Amino acid sequence: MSDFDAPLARMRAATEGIAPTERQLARWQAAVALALTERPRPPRSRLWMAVAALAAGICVLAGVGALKTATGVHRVDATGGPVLTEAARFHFAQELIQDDHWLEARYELRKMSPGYPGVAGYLARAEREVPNELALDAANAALERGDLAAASKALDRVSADSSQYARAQQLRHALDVRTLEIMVLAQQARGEGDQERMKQLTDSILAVRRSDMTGPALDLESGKVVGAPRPEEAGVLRFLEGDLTGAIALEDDCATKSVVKCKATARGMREFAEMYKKLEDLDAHGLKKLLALDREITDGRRSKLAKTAGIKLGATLCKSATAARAAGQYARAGELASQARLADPENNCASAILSDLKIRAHDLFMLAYSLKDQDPDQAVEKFKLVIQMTAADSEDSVKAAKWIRELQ
Amino acid sequence: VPVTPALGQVENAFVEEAPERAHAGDPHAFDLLIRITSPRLYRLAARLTGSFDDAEDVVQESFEKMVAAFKASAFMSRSAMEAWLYRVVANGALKVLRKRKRSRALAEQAPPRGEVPARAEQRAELAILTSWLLELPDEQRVALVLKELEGLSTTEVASVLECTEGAVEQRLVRARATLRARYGNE
Repeated sequence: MSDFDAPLARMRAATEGIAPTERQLARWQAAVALALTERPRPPRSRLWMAVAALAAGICVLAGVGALKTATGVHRVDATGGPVLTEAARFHFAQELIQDDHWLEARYELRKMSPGYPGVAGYLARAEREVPNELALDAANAALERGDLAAASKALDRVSADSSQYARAQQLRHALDVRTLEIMVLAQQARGEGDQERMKQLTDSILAVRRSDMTGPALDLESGKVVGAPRPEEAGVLRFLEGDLTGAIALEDDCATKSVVKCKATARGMREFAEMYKKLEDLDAHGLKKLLALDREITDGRRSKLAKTAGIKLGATLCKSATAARAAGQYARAGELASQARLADPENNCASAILSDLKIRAHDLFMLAYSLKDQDPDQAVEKFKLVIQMTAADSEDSVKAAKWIRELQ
Repeated sequence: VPVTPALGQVENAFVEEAPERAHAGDPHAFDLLIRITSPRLYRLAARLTGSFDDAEDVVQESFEKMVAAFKASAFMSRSAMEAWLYRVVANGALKVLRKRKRSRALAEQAPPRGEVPARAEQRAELAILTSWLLELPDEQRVALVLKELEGLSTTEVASVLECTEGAVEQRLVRARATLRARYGNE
């Protein structure tokens, strides 16, 4: 437990009992009743505010429209371009920040009044993030021209707490892939006795080694690959990126050197490719098989192609889960929704069903709890249903099991 | 008088009764629903705004928006509506906080005369909580309150905030880092 967990827990407990009074309830119920039955006319002051807001909105829209028409880009020349209102410029800067365009955002924020709410905070963040953005741009450019050492150095300049973490990770992964490919080539050169080429290739990746790199390492003294990569790894990395053709070609190449694992991986990839061609026609069973194959090839990592299949499987399973829920088969609905979320962790439908089932189960638990004294048999039936609807380790499930034991 | 939710009747309160009665012109169609959902909403609003008065207003506005959304058929199920209400209350509370920052108004008015001791204690705790979370950006504050104080799962927080679970985790990590840096040594 960290130092501030204890006061946090105390505050949670101290504010747990906050509840509205009957007076407040009556006020809300009256307000809703009014909203249901009437179309309230805004008071005069609100009317004026609405008119003013409308006028301001038109000005902002006109300003942005004129800005885009005049320049075609977002930036404005202070001497001649149309002027954005502070609010519009701030909103624009926020959008740029959301897209991680920190340099442009800083440009816009610096034009604003420093006292405008939020500007100082965003500017401070921009000052920290702009160097990161520039380093990431440099790393990207270096990767594109094949200068791995420069890319690695640029990535090292990105601070660990940067909000552009995802982009940095993406580029690091791309660098790992390129590095491993070169390592495989270096190993081949060594196997062929071409020492000069091997040295040339290993030199190019000497500066790339990082502590968090997942692939093999280099012996800095000798410039040789040590802790040799798994032979199929280069192809698997291409597979993870969704490049099926490239991956199979690499595995085939590896397999010509009589490496059994590469042959098996290439066979798995071909089977995956065949199934993937028919993705649209695959049913839930086929999709599960495809994902199992992906897990086998990638050793538990998930390829980009599998993600697509996962989304499809998630949607299929969630459809069944929805139907099961509508039919009152809550246990089955929960199981299907869990599977859907496993296949596609971002499946909102599955999350919604699981969340809904959790609420229903809790309501049912409370109902059973209220019945346990008057009608124990019915209460037991309901407690059993709660267990079916929830995960075994959930609070409601554990409590329901306890009550079933006590009532039977 | 604290209100306890009449659990077990929740489903009927919205899915069956409320729309039918509201469409039939019953102005009290949502009464039970309000009674059931308001404790959690009010507590959330109080924890976020640090003020009972502001929380009351935020919850009222949220229910009025619920009626408007209901008239426009914006939600169909109770669970969806509850998440929607949670989101509206969270946003309403944030609006209050932003307005307060601009006007530099005091967080809480003087306690009313004759306030019961328990309520006074809660008011004091809310004031401490508010000062504690003051340094956090809005998004992080909401995520922290929903997760650590309201006890929602990461998935549920993501659903309320309409963002990914990863984004929620990131906000929580940052919020904890800020609090640790600020209060870790106290």
